[in-house]
Amino acid sequence: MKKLRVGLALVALIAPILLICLVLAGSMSGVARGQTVNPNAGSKTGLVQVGFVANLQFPASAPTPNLQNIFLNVVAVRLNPKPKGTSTKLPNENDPKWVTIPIPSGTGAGAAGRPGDLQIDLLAGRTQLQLFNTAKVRTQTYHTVELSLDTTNPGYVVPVCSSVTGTTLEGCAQTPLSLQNPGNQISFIASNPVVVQKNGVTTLPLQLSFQINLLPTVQGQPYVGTITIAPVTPGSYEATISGTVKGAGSGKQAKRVNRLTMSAEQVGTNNVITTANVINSSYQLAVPAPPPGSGAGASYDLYVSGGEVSYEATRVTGLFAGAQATEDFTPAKIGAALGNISGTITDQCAGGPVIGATVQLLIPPDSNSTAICSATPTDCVSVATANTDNAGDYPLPGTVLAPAPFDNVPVNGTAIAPYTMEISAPGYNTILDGNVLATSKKTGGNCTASTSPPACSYTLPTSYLSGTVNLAAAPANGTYTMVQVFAENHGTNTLVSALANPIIIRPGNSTGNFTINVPADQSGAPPTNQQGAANLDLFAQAIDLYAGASDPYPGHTVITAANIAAPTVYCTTITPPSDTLFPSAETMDCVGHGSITGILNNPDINTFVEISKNYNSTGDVQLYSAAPVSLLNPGSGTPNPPIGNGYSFCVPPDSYTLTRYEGATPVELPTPTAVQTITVIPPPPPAPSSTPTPCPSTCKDSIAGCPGVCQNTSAQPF
Amino acid sequence: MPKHLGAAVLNMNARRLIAKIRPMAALAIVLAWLTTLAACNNNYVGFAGFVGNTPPTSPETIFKVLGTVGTPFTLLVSNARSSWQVHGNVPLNVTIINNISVNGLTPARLIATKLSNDNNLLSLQITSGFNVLAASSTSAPYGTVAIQTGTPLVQIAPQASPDLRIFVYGPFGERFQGLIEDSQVGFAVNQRVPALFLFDTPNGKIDGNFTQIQSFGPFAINMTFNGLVVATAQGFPNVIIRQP
Repeated sequence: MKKLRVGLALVALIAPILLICLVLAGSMSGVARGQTVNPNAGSKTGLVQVGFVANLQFPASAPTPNLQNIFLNVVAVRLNPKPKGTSTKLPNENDPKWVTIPIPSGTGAGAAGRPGDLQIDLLAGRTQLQLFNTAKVRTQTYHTVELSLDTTNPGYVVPVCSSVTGTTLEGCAQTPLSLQNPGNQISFIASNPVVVQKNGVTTLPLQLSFQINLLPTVQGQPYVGTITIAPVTPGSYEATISGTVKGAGSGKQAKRVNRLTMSAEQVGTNNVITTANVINSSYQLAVPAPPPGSGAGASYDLYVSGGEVSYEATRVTGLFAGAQATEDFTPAKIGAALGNISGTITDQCAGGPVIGATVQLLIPPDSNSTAICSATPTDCVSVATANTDNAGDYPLPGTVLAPAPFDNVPVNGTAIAPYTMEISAPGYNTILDGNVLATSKKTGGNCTASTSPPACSYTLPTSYLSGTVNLAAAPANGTYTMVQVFAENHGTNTLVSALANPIIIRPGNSTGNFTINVPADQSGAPPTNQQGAANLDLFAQAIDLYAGASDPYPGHTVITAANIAAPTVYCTTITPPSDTLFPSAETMDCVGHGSITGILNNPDINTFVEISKNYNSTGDVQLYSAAPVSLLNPGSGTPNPPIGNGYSFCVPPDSYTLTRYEGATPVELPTPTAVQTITVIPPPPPAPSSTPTPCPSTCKDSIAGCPGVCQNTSAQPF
Repeated sequence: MPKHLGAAVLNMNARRLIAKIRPMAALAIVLAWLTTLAACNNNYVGFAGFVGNTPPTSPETIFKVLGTVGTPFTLLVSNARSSWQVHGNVPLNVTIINNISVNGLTPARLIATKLSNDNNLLSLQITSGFNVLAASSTSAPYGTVAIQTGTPLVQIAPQASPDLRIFVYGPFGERFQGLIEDSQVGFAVNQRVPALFLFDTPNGKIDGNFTQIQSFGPFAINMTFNGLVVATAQGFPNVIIRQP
């Protein structure tokens, strides 16, 4: 009888225990980084990789506005196996068969898209596939594809200034988007259904068309339009890379803690574009790629990580849309012990933690196996990344089944060479330690250059530049002006630092002092420290309000300082002579918005335009860059060209230089191919009226009135 | 024993057995019910699902720094009384505790500067419950982005003093509920890791009680006072951190 009681009690407890197990299993299933598990997915699942290309259409009856930005708030993409047979009826919104591919965790509000918005840059999507997410869904054939938008807050547009004289619509300011029929389903029934096979990867490129039907006629009115999606022929915007990982198999060497995955990064960076599981020693990835004939094509770093397999990497170049590349990997060690690397990053000068520092493990790629990562890190591939917390400690914790990459690093030995570790933070000299060993005893690794060996803690050196920014006049009462200062390597657009806190200039004051961290140009530095640039360019830009709301582009002029010598000794502060770094005569004036648009002759995917300013002939300081996009309306029903030929800048009225570059490879200073100077038209003064405070437009200072509505300036084609 | 008596004894034994099992079954049902509540992600209001007759509080306003995971940024957060400078990496969820109300609204302005020389996305979003109230993004190298809620702030407030923060760093993605209180008032919070709580103008010492909703791994929490880490806490599913 006692046995029976216990047995029955156990039977009674089975249900809650099973429920608990289901909850835990559902929340903790191991997936590759960047992938999302669909809650409806069972054991028979495959991956679906969704990406967008965009198409914009404007009403033919109105002058076509050029856009500087257009962001669409996407919530999810949903798939449904219905309708089946010959039916053409779209499944109901509440149909239980829908499976959701949400936004990637961490990229939008909420997590895994519940709830959440991911702001998709439609202008970038006009020429290149914008990867949305890769999610695990049940093996099935799906006939309906639906786009879920945030219907209450679908996004915003930033038009450039109007070329129409006398317009009352301001440019370079945020304007809301509105859906004409927000309740309508945005979906299509695929003529070629989406077939998801077990353990397979299905690419699902979608064309997102935004037909703007109503343009605003009064400032503050939204752009009203309709959005449709349509299938894109696979291979039109992406290339496929597949291959094998020799010896990985499907046992614990591929599944231990972190599943074995193949990742693709932007070349020379730690920015993971997409990942896929390695299953039965095979993998397949789809990566964005330009049309054939567009410059040098796309380049990616590929690396194998996870399981009990040593890291292995390669660099793939010259990929064009439709290409099918094969890359096979032979890891040096299968069944490697796993260890960890951890430590603390502190400021060598101030002594406190360096918050948000980036720590990366680098290995040479198979395609350049003799690369010395500690000397030329851009030749190597980043195979693990960590960031520091507010105490300077790294790595940040992962989860039980998806731990931080630095908590599962293959332990070095005869088969696995020491790693190179790169420790970097904006404004600091980068440290490169070429002799980093993961340890199996969870002691935090063994790093010879560490400040507290054997754990891997480092101090980052820095130096400081001090100066003053000057406004033309103090902010009017009831307002304030915020200024951000940036530093970049001289003569390049390689930004290296920005102020930790913008300068706040309040009424009654027209100046603001600043001290900015910059990498020191030191001599005789320890070999682990990467030398900073000898000279720097600085520029200061206001962060203004427009009509009381946040303004994406400044209404004050940008001030520049070229060729400022960086400190040569760590921890020292240099105050350059007042006639070199933002002299008092160089003031930030409240001038309102301005914009430039132009056309590029025969651009390709590697073409870009840089805008620079040269104050008083002290030297060009590069400010912003623009990639070519298809700015102009190609006409109703005509798709946007694969490579656009237009560009635009939202910059305050001033004199600038435009320079065209062809930057096929990530070099600091590509050779300019064309140059022109341009003066951006200032807005005309507004109609006389009693001007309220704060200014209804961009900014107001104590001597100038409020700027009027901005005008566009057209550049010469080049 | 006669057959019919035997049947009666068996019947009585069965009844006794049922009577003894009944509390266990009830316990099992309660456990299942609680687990279901915890698993339903019914967590957009303060302590939803856990408190019997307490009416749900209005959803809290959360500031989110999102975009390409790992992108470093510096962020200035200001309400009508205090401001904070925050360094970090995408993603980060920021909540002002003891936020000050102005005419029934809780105005705040966020200004972020991306600290990477690439085209990664940096997105600032303000959410309330299931709704994204406002969102703004940049993908420019070292781009700046600003966003605000409530009535526009006339000024950026002075730096918070004291500057008390609670960081919940791990486990990544974990949903949790909590109570953060000073000596006079407590605030129910509902967030997802990584989360940063900025306590505006605390009265006395602060403590926080955090409970995991899912179970991804142990909490990793620390508390800073004027920039110095003064307390750390780990464990799961419930962790208390106190200002020393």
